[in-house]
Order: sequence, then structure tokens, then C-alpha cells
Amino acid sequence: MEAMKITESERWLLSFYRVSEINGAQFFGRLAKNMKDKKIQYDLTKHFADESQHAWLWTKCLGDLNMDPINVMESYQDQYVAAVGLPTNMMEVLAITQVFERRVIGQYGVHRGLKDINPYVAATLDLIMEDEKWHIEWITQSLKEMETKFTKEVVISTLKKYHEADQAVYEKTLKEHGEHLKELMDKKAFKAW
Amino acid sequence: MKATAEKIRQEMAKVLHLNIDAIKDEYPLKTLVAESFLLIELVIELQDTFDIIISQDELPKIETVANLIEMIISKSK
Ligand SMILES: [Fe+2]
Ligand SMILES: [Fe+2]
Repeated sequence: MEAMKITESERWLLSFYRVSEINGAQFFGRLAKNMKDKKIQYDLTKHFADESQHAWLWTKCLGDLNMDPINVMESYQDQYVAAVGLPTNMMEVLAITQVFERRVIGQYGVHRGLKDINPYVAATLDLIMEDEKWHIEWITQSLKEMETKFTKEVVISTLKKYHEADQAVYEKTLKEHGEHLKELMDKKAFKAW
Repeated sequence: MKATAEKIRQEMAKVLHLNIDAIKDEYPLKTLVAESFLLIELVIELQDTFDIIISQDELPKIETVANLIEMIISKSK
């Protein structure tokens, strides 16, 4: 593959993805260390490994494009925490993660749909998206199982609370970092799905 | 496990890598556990050990170590 250039905005965006993957990995890694529920621990450890790998893939992608990552100070997760606070029990952890993973998949999907997408970026997104499908699956399944302990109503209302926060955080991100995303959104260069 | 103040303190000491005597009732939780993620690790670990649920909405009610211990004991059967 020839190292086609990407714009500074796209470089910023890939760096932002990278930091968000690292934060995700650290979050799951810390939680996975000690857990009573061994089934969740198993999946959470795999999830931690995947997000670490994604951080590496973005780092490698930038390297392949002869670029260093930009040191992005704030990640998407930091903004979640600022908006809703840290989750306090495992059900809340899974609920916020499900909302977050859906947002990531949506964003990666939009990015992947760009007509003139750089082949290195496209290949990286394809690799990551494969794992993301499983992330949603195991979390949805585990949340379903948690309805017994937490009740269905509480699980649904927790998801609703995080969905609303996610919407607010996304709008805030667009406002603050709009110039980087705008280029992507305004290109009108999306392939027909 | 049925919660007692002693068992809760032991568990807290384990997670926070502190001597049990360092966990005093009157201490504000935020002073004892300055890093917010460590607080969450602690709260999740305590829920696991004593088989209780503490939700995000309840967290602001817990200001001191004593508040936390009381809440766990009241929830633990
Ligand atoms: Fe990821
Ligand atoms: Fe993921």
C-alpha cells in the first residue's frame, strides 16, 4: 500500500480515537483484575485486550502514514464522566459501555463510508469493526442476565439516562472539535451504503 | 457474606492497600480515596463481597467512611 497523505484534521481524529481506545482498555483492565463473576471477568478481560489492540492499530496506522499521534488531552470517556459521573455498579458499567460502544461503531461507520478514505485508515477500521460487533453482543447479553438482580425497569432506565448523556456529550464534542469532524461530515463524499 | 463494620474495614484496607487503622469513621471518603476510579473499584468490590447493590444515585449520600459502612450494613442481609 502506498502511504497516501491524510489531512491534519484526520490525523487529529485518529489520535482522538487512539486515546479513547487506550482509556477504554485501562477502564476494563482495572475492573477485570478482581471480580467475583468469572464469566464477566472472562469477557471483560477479552474486551480489555481488544481495546488495547485497537489503540495499537491506530498508533500503527499513523506510523504507516509517517505521522506521530497528536497528544489529545481529553477523550470521549472523560466527557462521559464529566456529564454523568462514574458508574457505581457492574450493571451501570455495562450500560454506559453499551451506549459508548454504539456511539463508537456509529462514528467508525461514518468514517469508513468516506468515498476517498485512505486505504490504511480503511483497513484499520475494518479490523476494529470486527471486534466491535462482539463487544456489543456480550454486553447486551450480560445486561439481559443482570435484569434478574437489578430488575428490567432499572436496567432500562439506566440505559435511557446514559443515552441522553451520550447525546449531550456528542453534541458538545461536535461543538468543541467540530472543525475536525466537520471536514468528514461536510465532504458529502459518503459512499451509498 | 454478612457485613459487619470490621469486615467492611478489612475489605477496604485490602483494596486501598492501607492499614486497617488508617480507615477512620470520620474520614471523608474523597480524602481517603482521592482518585475517583479507585473509589469505583472499591465500591464495586464491596458490592461483590457483601452481595449488595449501590447505585450511582446513592453515591452522593456517602460522605464519610461511617456513611459507607452504615449503608453496606443496612443493605446486607
Ligand atoms: Fe475499540
Ligand atoms: Fe469496543
